[in-house]
Amino acid sequence: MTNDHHPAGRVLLPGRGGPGQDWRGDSGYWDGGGWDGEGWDGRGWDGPRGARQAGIGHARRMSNWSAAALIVGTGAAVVALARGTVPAAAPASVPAAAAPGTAPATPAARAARAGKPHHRAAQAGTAASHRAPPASHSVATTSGSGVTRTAAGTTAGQSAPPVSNSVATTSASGVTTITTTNPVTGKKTVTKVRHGGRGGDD
Amino acid sequence: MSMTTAPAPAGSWLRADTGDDTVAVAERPVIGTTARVAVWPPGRIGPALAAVDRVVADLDHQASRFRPDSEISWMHARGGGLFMLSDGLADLIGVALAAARWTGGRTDPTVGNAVIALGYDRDFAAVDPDGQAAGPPPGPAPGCAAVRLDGCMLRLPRGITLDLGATAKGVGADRAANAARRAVGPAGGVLVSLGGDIAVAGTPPQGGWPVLVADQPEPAHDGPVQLVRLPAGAVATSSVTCRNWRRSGRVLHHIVDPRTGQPADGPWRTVSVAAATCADANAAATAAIVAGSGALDWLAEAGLPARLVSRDGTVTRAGGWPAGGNEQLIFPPGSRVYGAPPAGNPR
Repeated sequence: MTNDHHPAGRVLLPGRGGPGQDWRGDSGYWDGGGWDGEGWDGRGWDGPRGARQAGIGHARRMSNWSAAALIVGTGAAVVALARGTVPAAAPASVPAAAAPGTAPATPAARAARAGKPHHRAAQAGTAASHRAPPASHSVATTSGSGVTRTAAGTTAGQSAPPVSNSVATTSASGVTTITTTNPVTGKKTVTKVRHGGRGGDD
Repeated sequence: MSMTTAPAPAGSWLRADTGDDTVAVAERPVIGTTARVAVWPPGRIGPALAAVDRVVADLDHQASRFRPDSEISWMHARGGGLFMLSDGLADLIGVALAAARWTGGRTDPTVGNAVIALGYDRDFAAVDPDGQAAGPPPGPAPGCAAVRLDGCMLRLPRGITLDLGATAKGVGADRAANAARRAVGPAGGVLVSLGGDIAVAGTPPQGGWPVLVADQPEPAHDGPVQLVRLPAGAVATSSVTCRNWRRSGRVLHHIVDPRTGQPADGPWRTVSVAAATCADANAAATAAIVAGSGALDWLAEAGLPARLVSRDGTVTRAGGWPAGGNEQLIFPPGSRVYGAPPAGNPR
């Protein structure tokens, strides 16, 4: 008999059992029933070291279960994300008091969640996840020949036009004074002079 | 020389004649400034203007601190606490918090109380242009660390007033440009300017949208101007030459340095920045004004093309901003304020 085998044929974990150690039922996965240590020759028993190894073995088994649970949980999360679902649990950064229903919703938020058109709170392209709006340069491109291709790869019927004169001004507070000269007629045109003197900021 | 306006195609929009009949251009006053929309093909301007109207109305309802019935005013009126926001306002605040982190605090939405204390406490048209200081000078902004946004859930500490001025107009231009592009259809392009913060979407005219970059409020009269081409993305300008008022004899303006709570007093009077999105460009331009002598270093770190005009009118170009006229603005792809985790959030 070696120190690895129980008389009933069960396999002992390294360091478990042996003279002077009451291991029976200490973890629940082995009740020690039917074995009283008889036949144990003491070889391999090294006292405190054995106890430590017993703990390591216990931890190893528990780790196996934890790893299995982690794998299952991760898989479930991947499936949920792939389907675009929202986790059932509240985000960890939101305190318990912040659970939906306890925080006052602004009128616009209430209306939006009730499906009312109040302030059009949930307008297209402004999702709460702060997604970037579709980048304009990735939506369509114009080749040097003027053939326009959309993002889907279809060829549009119209070529981008030439535009000679400025169509807008970026300046202090949105003043849009435009003085243009028509290259054909030579006619000068002032389209508008307006100061953006109110509300909005730069 | 003639002044031309045509009947508005929709609402109070006025059609502007730029001399090119290949694009339709219209403008109207909105949210305290001017919106301008350019569209090709010209026949699609009607749906584009309607789309822009909807976006601007939403923006105003969500973020105007001058409207008592806006969502942000409703929130401020209740002091601090935890709020469930609309998607639109949550998006605006998320971009503002991300911009604060990106700019190293040179923009900060928590400057609201400082801006109010300086006297900009109502629609600018109603601000007393020359009055006495109402109270002690404001101090540094409290900062974004305690402002937490998770989805549509906002925790706003008591005593903090948000001002989204550094980014909201840029976000609005981004939203409006994309909404107008959808309205125009797959073949065509749009340009939307909200108070000089310009975003384009769709297919640009050949060579890009021609945009005038100006420094002074009336670029046709004086100051250095430059014509550039914007093939995609956005360009925005921040300046201290407008929205000025006096308190106790001191000239103030609306770009507040969050570190001091006072109007920025660096060497630059106007900064224009091009970026992939107007929110990025808007935040970067404001941050450069606030950064003062450190603006060029920060812009180099950001990797964005910029045009800076000093107090004496000297123009400095950085980051590949074109030197000549009618040249394209080229900037790196990607946004630093959309899709970024908001500042103050543990991630």
